[in-house]
Amino acid sequence: MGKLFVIATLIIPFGYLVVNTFLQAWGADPAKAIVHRSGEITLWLLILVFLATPMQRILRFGYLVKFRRQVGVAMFVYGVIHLVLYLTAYLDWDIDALAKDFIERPYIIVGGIGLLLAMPLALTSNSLSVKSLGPRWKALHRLVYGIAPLAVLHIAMQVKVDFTESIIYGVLFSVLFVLRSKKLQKRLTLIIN
Amino acid sequence: MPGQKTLFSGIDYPYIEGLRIDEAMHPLTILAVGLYGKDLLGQNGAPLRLVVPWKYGFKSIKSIVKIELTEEKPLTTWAKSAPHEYGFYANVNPKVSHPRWSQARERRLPGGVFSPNIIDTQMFNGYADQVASLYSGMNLRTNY
Repeated sequence: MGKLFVIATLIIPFGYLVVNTFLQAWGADPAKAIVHRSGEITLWLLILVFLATPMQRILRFGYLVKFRRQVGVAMFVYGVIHLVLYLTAYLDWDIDALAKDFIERPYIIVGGIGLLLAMPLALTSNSLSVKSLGPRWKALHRLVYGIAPLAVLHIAMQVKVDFTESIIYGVLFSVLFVLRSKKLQKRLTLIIN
Repeated sequence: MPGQKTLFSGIDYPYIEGLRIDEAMHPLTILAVGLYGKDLLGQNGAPLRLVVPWKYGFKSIKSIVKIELTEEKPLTTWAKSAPHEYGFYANVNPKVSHPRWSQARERRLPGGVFSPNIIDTQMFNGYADQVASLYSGMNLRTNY
């Protein structure tokens, strides 16, 4: 029951993208808006993944941990949607242009690697993989610590002049990384409870 | 203007741009006071703005407050902010990339999500016949 509800909630951002497109509510540059927004959705799902354990250990809120798997897979799916929208709206599926873009826009390479690293994580987000991979499952899923900085870099490398957004995300992920420390989690639990 | 200066911005205001005298005197360089037969609106750079159609947009400055004639080439705002990315001339040139992205193609607006209007960038934004002579003999890669 809970799982269905969570999955339904995870479809809402997709609904938002579709509805805005049909209503032509993206403003003067729909392509830019939808590519940017789909990227933001992907990023925020990644943030939710990192929030799961701190939420549970510090604030005793366990629902994110319980459904972290679904949130993680959703992150990858929206990452693919973000890629497909970029290929459609920016490149018109011109593969030649993609090759040129890849070479001349390093931020595309960075984003591409981030999504590529997320793929094995999404594919192994099931009980069968946990069982068959054993201790290597945990090692594989540590790749998520590489995806986060790649995401921030992907944003930062596109900045023309205003770094505020990328600095905010950089600081946010740094805080989330620091919150992995069990010692810190215990201290914060004591302070809050 | 509200929101003009952000916390971590690389732009030093006041915004400064410059043209060579021959560029400024060229018939295609326009000091505009109106648009589509009406007075300029704030967002279009009222009351007086510059239009230099063969250069990248950041040179077509809006809401001009001061014009100076100088002996020396001025240090323009974007060249100051990122000298290896933006130069003084900023002529539209598909053959010279920005260090972080290519400038060989344009995505024209209006354009939809499923019908992007992508065209090849033209040399001098299509005004090569009229302005190329201003730069004859110049290396357009080093004078970007």
